[in-house]
Amino acid sequence: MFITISELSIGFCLFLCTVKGMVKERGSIRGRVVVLSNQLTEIWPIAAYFIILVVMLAFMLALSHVLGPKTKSRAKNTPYESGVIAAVAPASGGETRFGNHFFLYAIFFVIFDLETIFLFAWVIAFDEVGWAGFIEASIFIGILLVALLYIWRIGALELKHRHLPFRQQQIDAQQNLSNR
Amino acid sequence: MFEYLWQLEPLWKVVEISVMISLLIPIAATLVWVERRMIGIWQDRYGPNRVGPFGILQPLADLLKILGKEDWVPPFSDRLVFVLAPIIGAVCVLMSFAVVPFSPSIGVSDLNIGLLFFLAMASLAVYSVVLAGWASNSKYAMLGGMRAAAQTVSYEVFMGLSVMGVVLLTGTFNLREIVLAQTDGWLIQTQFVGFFVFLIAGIAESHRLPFDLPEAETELTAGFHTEYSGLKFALFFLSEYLGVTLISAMSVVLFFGGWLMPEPLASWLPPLFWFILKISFFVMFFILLRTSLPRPRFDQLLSFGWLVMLPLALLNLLVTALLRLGGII
Repeated sequence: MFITISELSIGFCLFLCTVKGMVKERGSIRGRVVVLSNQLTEIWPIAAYFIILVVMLAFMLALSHVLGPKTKSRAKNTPYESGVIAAVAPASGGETRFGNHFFLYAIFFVIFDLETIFLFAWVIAFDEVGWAGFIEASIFIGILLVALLYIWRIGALELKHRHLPFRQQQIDAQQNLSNR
Repeated sequence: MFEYLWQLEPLWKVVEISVMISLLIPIAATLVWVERRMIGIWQDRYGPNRVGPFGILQPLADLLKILGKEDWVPPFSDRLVFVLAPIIGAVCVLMSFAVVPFSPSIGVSDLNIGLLFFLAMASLAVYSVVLAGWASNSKYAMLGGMRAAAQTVSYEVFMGLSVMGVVLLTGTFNLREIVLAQTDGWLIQTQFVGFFVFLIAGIAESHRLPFDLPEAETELTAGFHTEYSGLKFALFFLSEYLGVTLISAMSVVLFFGGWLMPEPLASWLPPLFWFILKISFFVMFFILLRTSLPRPRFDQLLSFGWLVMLPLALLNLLVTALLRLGGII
């Protein structure tokens, strides 16, 4: 927790320095208007690209909807289950629950990816901030590495460890079956 | 009469965009044939060789067949999301091509945040697999979707970090300027660690073997697209192969000088051809990886990403910055 807060604060300072440097460089309002109109000429082709793309994909899907046959059979509308009785997933209000072991990775992702954004700000302003920026950034990266070391040492990155009890349960269940 | 020509410029742009999209999709389809053929050769068999010369019309036959398949939406699924998921995937991958500079004059947009746009689209693509897995309402799809989420999220962190060395050396996010900055020498000379990390992250992001755990046949039947069929399945397939092309194109743009070549070679072929040649080299490399490497276990994959790749990317950035400040590169 402490690590995260200190990192975020350092990152934020880094970010502010960079933004300050960039604003100083941009200058007058007229310059900003020019920048804006340049951006517009770069952005509208992307918007056009997006629209053409979506229209084309929708057309393809519609075409296959029209061309394809419509058939009915008894087992067609059941989920693929490979011989094991289908578990109903939550999307249709089913009761079956999946253990999601991956939520921790999502949390780490949020922490680490946020810090990537701060580093992006440093990298793009690299020539302006010079050695001072480098020292700040290396402290920042150092804390990142320490945080990584920490989450590794507490075993938060080990999937196998967190799978163990469930596996043990399965093995026990199988043994019970074979005993009977 | 020439003063009215600038008004035609948007029209030309729209034509360029349409041509590009209508070329990209057949290219991805042809890539399926190329891959099957190459795997066939490497595995000492023929591969598809019936339709047309060398079987090159196979993608066309596949497309026609897929168009004639039933557009089936499972009644037990979340219908809207089920239909949207493959579209999201295809749109995200194809949108990234909008910022790729193909040659000095070809390219949809020179967005000044092109690299960030590419990373953003790569992150958005995860919604496609997660939503597909969730909406299918089937256990294999669900597990595949979850795996895809964990894998993509883990490998994305250092995908962004690995290209930061490039941004540091060139001082821009604009992909065209990054290419032009490599006129004196390709960035691979100093950024080989970054390239290595980027390539591995790219393979993981496009769910290719050996990192295709979200759709591992031996464990999860077909993973997140178990319930998909017909054209919607084809869209997933298409996004995978477009993803391969995209990662190859980005590697070439960021590390191998885009369309640039050293002088005696550069005058032999137009820039676009050099770019395509370099991309095909990487595509072949991806196919070779698929034929030669086994799949790791899922926890091995994740811990490899977090414990090896992430520190490597961070250290690469630091060392690059240090060398840059020291005036060495």
